[in-house]
Amino acid sequence: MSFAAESQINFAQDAKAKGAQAALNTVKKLSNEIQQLKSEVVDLNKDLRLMEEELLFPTSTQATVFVSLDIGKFFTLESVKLKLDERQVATHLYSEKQRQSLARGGVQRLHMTNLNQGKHTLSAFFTGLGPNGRPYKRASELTFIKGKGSQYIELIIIDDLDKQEPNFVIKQW
Amino acid sequence: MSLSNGSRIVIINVIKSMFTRLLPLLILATVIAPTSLLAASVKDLKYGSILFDYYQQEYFKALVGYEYAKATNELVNNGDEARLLQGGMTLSYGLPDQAQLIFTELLNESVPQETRNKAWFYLGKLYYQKGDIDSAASNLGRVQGNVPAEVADEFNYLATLINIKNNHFDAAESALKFVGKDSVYEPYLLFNLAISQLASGEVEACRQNLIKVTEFAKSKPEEEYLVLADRAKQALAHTYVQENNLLMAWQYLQNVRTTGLYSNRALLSYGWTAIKLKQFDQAIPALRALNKRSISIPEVQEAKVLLGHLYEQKGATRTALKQYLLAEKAFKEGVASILHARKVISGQRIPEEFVVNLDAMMDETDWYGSEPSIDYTKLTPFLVELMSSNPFHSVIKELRDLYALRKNLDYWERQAVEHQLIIRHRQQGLTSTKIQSFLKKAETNKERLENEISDLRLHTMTLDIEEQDRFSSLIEATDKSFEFLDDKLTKVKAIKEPFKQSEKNILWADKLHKRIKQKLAKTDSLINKLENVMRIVVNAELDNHDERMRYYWAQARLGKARLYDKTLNNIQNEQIETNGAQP
Repeated sequence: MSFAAESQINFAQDAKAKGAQAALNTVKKLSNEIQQLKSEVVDLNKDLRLMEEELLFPTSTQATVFVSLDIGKFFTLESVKLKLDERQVATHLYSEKQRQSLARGGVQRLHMTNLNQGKHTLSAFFTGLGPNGRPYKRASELTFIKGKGSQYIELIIIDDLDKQEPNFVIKQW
Repeated sequence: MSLSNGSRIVIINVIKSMFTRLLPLLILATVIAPTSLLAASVKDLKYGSILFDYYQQEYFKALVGYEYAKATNELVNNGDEARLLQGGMTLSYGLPDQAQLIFTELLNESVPQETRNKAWFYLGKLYYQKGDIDSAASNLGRVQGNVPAEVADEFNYLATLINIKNNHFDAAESALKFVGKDSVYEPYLLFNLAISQLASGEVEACRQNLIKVTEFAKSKPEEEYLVLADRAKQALAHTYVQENNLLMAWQYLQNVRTTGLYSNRALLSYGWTAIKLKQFDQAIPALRALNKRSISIPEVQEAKVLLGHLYEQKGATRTALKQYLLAEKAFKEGVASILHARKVISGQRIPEEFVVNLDAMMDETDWYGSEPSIDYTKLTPFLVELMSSNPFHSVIKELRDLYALRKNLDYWERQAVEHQLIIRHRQQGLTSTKIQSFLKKAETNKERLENEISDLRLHTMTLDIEEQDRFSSLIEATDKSFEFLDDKLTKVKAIKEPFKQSEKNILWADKLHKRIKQKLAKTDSLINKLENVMRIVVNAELDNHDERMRYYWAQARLGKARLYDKTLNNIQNEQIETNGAQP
């Protein structure tokens, strides 16, 4: 009696090897086409984004809110709620991957909207875990004047090393 | 941030003096710097938002973000860094040709040393991925001074891999000393090094490194490392089997976990080694454990017949016969399930669902034992080996990217309908006359409502004080609504000329919408081609399973026939003995 482990029987290995080779050859042959398509779709997405913003958020009224984190030792961000002129406009619940990304220097585009020129109030509510892992809730508010061009606002969570606690700042760019 | 570490220079010089003259393609390792505070270096919001996607490995989104920011001139402060990041992203997104152009361009410009070093590193990585080890080594070798901290870990990993591939084992061993404590790369490097040492006949060094892999899993008992430790123990056993030292081999096989991806091979090897050591009773439990598992696993197929054979050798004829009969039934079902898997792969939507859900299916540690609930999961058990093969992996990777492109283009196709709707509405929208007529109508309505409210206000004054209080808040709210209405009417009155969608934008949108359709057609055509390749590869794998299954099925039938023959002979012999020899 013989067993595969002993006798090393070649079960349809040739067909398998041929199939694998055919796959490799096709992928190699199509590789340039696929690479080109990927680049073209990236380019198309860029153009569509530019066009859509022009259509929906013209520069004269555009306002964008970003979230960033500096160090983040004293605060684990769980969620952000955003109010613009007393109306809730955005909320976001963070995944671990997104938290890591913010901690490494990523900046999240949280909300994009249209605003008239003039005075506006932006309030941000942060929830998460503070020093010693305790639940932590903080709010921050900014009254700003929207000018003619597009407006960028950054919600910054920054560690206050003296007080050993997080600090929440809203910055108008 | 760059590394600046005196001890590193000493270490490198020592290694340099030891190896560079002897081994021209040797790559030197570097110690890893503590994590830098990258956040502090991010100056542009747009650059930061690209990083946000990049760090989440959302390369497509990040690349779009980069192109967008570049088109709007919003990468002022991080130009070179962003370009380098673009190179890294294009490489990770499977665009090596474009990435190569970017890195080469960066090296031709007068960019800072750190950026150049990163570009050399990425180029090295690119060549390694293309399988050009010599070019990879020479590019890594061009890194001068300090290795940037962000890539130091990966640099060490890549450099060690190249050293292993080039059989520079001593250099690889030295480099391993500088891999960060508890680095995720350490056990993999040790394993790769050990396997290369074995191939070069350095058996003792190989064993030492495999033992280190098993020890790593002890200090960090995560599934990933435990699986690697199982593989290391099997490799250790293999080295002893080669020397015919079955007892030592058996010792390592005993410590392989009886669950997990690599347990099947271990259990079968354990069984075979026990048989060779004539420890039949020890072999049976291992083979029985295998016997309970899915028939799609090659080791299980072998174990089913081997178990019957073992019972036969022990003289347990009834048990052996039962085992052969059950094995026959299992093989019949196995062949039927291969036939079913063939039907599944020929289905229209199956490749996409299969590819997209691959991670989830592979993550289930006991997936091979679980009852499949959806059709495509019936395919998976037969494709374990295939999953780890490079050609199949390349097809899956490209297909996955193409499906993602199709999803993206489908989204834009839906958006295009909305864009056209907005454009149409704006074209048919307000004219100056329409605004005037709207204002006139609105003011008449406002006047009528104000009169009605005024009447109601007077009416409330005729009520009791208590009743009047009930209305006061309502009247206040109505007053506020009137204020809001006034404000809006004033804004509309201020419009001198209504907004008009520019012709240029309308044409632009039309052009882009046509491009969506073109790219969608191209994507579908490429998907079609690759799905066909995938079907060919999967069918070849199923042929392999089918042939193996039928072979063992035949073995089980032979075993059964042998036992029937033996029994028949015994009966005949008994009859002869009882009745005496017939004339």
